[in-house]
Amino acid sequence: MDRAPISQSGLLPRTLDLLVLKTLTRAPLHGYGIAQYLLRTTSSFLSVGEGTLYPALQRLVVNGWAQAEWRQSETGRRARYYTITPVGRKHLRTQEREFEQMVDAIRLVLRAV
Amino acid sequence: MNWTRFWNRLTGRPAREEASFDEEVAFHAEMKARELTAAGLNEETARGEARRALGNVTLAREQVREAWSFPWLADAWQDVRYGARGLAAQPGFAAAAVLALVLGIGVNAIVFNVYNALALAPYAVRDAHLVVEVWGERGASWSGFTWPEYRYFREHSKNLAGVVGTTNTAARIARNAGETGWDGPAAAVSDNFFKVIGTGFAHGRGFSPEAGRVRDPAAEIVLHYDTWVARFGSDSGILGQWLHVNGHKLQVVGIAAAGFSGPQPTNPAVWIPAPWRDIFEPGQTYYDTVNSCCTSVIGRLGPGVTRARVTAELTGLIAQFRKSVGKEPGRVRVTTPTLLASPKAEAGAGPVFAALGVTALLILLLACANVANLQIARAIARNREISVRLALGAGRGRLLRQMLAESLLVASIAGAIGAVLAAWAPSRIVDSLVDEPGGIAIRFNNDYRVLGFITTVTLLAALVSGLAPAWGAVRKAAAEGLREGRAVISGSRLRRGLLVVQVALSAVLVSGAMLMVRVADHARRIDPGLSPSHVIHMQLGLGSSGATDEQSRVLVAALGERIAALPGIESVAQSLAVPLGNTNMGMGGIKDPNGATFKMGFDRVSPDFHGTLRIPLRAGAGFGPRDGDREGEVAVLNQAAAERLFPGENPLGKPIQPGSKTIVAGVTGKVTTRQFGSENDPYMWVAAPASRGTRLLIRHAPGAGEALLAVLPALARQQDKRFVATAAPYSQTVAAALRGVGVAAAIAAVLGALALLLACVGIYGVAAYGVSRHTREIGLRMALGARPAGIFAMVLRQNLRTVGVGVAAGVAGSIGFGQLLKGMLYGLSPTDPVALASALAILTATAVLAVLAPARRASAVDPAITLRED
Repeated sequence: MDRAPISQSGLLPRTLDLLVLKTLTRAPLHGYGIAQYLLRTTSSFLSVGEGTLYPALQRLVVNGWAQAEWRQSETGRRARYYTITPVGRKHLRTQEREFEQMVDAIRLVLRAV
Repeated sequence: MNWTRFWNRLTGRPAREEASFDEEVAFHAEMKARELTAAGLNEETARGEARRALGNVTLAREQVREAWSFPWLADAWQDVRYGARGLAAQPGFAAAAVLALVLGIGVNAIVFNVYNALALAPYAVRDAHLVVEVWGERGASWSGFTWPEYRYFREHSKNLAGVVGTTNTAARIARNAGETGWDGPAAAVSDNFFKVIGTGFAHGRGFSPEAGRVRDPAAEIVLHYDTWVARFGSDSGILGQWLHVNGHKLQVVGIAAAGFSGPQPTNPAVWIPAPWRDIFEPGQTYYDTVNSCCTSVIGRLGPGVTRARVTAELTGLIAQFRKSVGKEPGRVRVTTPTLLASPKAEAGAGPVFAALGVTALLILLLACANVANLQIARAIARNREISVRLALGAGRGRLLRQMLAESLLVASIAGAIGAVLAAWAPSRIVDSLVDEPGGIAIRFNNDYRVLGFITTVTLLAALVSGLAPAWGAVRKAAAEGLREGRAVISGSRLRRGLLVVQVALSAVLVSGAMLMVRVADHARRIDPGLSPSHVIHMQLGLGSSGATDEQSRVLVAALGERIAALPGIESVAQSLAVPLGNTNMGMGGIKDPNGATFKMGFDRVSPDFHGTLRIPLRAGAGFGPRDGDREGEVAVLNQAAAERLFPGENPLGKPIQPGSKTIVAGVTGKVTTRQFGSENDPYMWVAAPASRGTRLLIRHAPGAGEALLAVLPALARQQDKRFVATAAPYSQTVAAALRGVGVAAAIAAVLGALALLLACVGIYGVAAYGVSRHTREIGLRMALGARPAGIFAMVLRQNLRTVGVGVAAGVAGSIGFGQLLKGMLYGLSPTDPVALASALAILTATAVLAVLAPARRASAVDPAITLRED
């Protein structure tokens, strides 16, 4: 099968938020780091366009699910690091549950026919 | 509302976030470039690759901003500012667009304001939202009630918290006995009138309960505020004074609050207690008999009571009451108290407002089409700008909204001016059209309905005029992108389409206007079947004099004889209604031989009536000289009545109805009776003695008119003080009857001219633009040998073809529109060929004129233009 990287439009709605939050549970990260991590973890399957990643990060901050602060990066340059908040963790749990349910439901349909 | 966001917005967080975003993206790009360099790319290629990988940064930045603010609010504000800048940059366009929409929105706003005031907004009474008007079915028509019926409602209704009755009458008022005084309209009302619907008093109080007694009512009168100011110099000392009203003394107990006129469209000068009407008109028993008609009944809903409940209750009450006096029950209707609430008025005014409304809407569409055309021209000019912005990543929706914001701005300015027009114009128009002695009580307020309507129309206008061009511009620019040095939007098909619509709309309006102009002309040419010249129309003013009908008979007969004896008089006739005299008298329930009932107009006249007005009799000898001494024993029918009552028979000598004592003595031809165009309605003149309302028609020798007009009123006064007579040439009465249709034609002509102007601008715009766009092509043709005359003809032909399509569509529309005007045509056909043909001629001539200048410009193109670079 052709495993071309899919873009955000190929994702289920709001799945990007879920993935980013999940990523942030490991450690605070900057945007580039998050994109790299997603790419690595999915063996280059998920290439998140920066044009969608940064608005998604803003969304997380606006909704209080993540916090952002400027820190020194490993390269020495100033970078914006994102940290998941307690509210964000709670949101992540419900989102994960809902995602599982939806995937199960989709799977049921796909197998039923 | 999300207050955190609101706070963020206020403290400028979006702007800060945007700055952060830029730095973040720069960092991201650098990291990416580093990664690529590590993979072996040279530094420069890596940077380029990294930047490309970033994707649409502009869009992302917009989204970041959106995340932090009320995007629509920030955007909307930005869009409006952008639109304002665009408009300011092209004031010519802005002025033309605003002007067109002012016409469109203004006409709609004015028509709606008038309709609102007449049909939707209740009269200015206390708690108007709780007040209802009650209508009763009587025979086959809706009317008010008798006073005893009113009193029955008042005693028995549990759902109405109060109910008042009011009838219009007239009063002659003097401060002292022996003074002539002045005549004014009066309202005869129930004693609780001011308690239930009054809005208070400038001075004094309303009527006492004793004013409602059938016998010996309290002698009280309340003045209208305007009367108090105009007749009594705002002197509060008038309170408690006694006035001589129709020969009786009444005490001024109150002056109503300014602006209060009660539940009626005209201002009464005074209010009198209803029982006094019977005292003023001896022999009448309006207040106490079940046959009197018609009192307006106005009720105030009790707490929580619905109209349906009141309707049900009053239907029951009226059935009970009418049964007790041996009469048929009837349905009851409860409405908002407005001028057009009366079922009769509704039927009359409905078609007029339908025609006006459709006309106004067509003008609005026409204006919108014009503005859309202007917008397209502008969009073409701005094509490069739009393309650049799209290429830079601006959202299409955003661009669309920006262009719509501009239309909205134009429409809003026009809407605001329209609102001012709507507030200013209607009362002036109505004042100039209506001639009421006491003035008009209807106020044309820009109330919430009018403002809501104007807002809706404005938004619609913005959408209609802005959406198509904006969408076309954005789509085209997106599809074709940036090309070297060339405008990519042609928009010419859209513009031609719009032009067809415009021409069609104005064809409808212009032909409607021509039809009304034709109608006015036609009405003026209608042979009235009588000769109005050398006749004086004399009103005697006995109505408020206190004279009985019996006394009036003697008084009028004597006056008539005295006038007949003057030099230069040919004949003197009495008439109660007077043809075209703005009085409708009729009797319902007349049966034709097939058993169908109809209503027949009638007048009480003296035997020499037909001779005086030169109405020829086609059959029979007419009235005998002494027929007027007895009450209605002899009748003359008009042709329509004779044909209806006696089809194929000779009516002479027969009773008008089986068993009637009224015998037919003559038949006229077609004669104008109540109004122009009524010559085919059944009508009957009965010979009868004079009564209080009788008027005189005096035929005199040519040249004697001036002197008679001066002397007649004084002569009447000299004979008896109870006469307050006025005399005017009867031709004035005839002219007044034509005023309505003349006004309608004038309004239609103005609206038609507006339509023509808008169409003319539209045609010129499209033609001029077409020529400027094809300059190169034209130059080429000329270089290849085309003659200027040929080019001229080509441009003319091309544009007139479009106009022709529009005109053809318009003709179909105008036939439909003519149907709407049917009731106002005085017998003219809605598809009157003369009107249609002249409308087409006018439109075609206008179109040719509009295309002439662009065509000439085309024929003067210098062929050398093709050699020049763009």
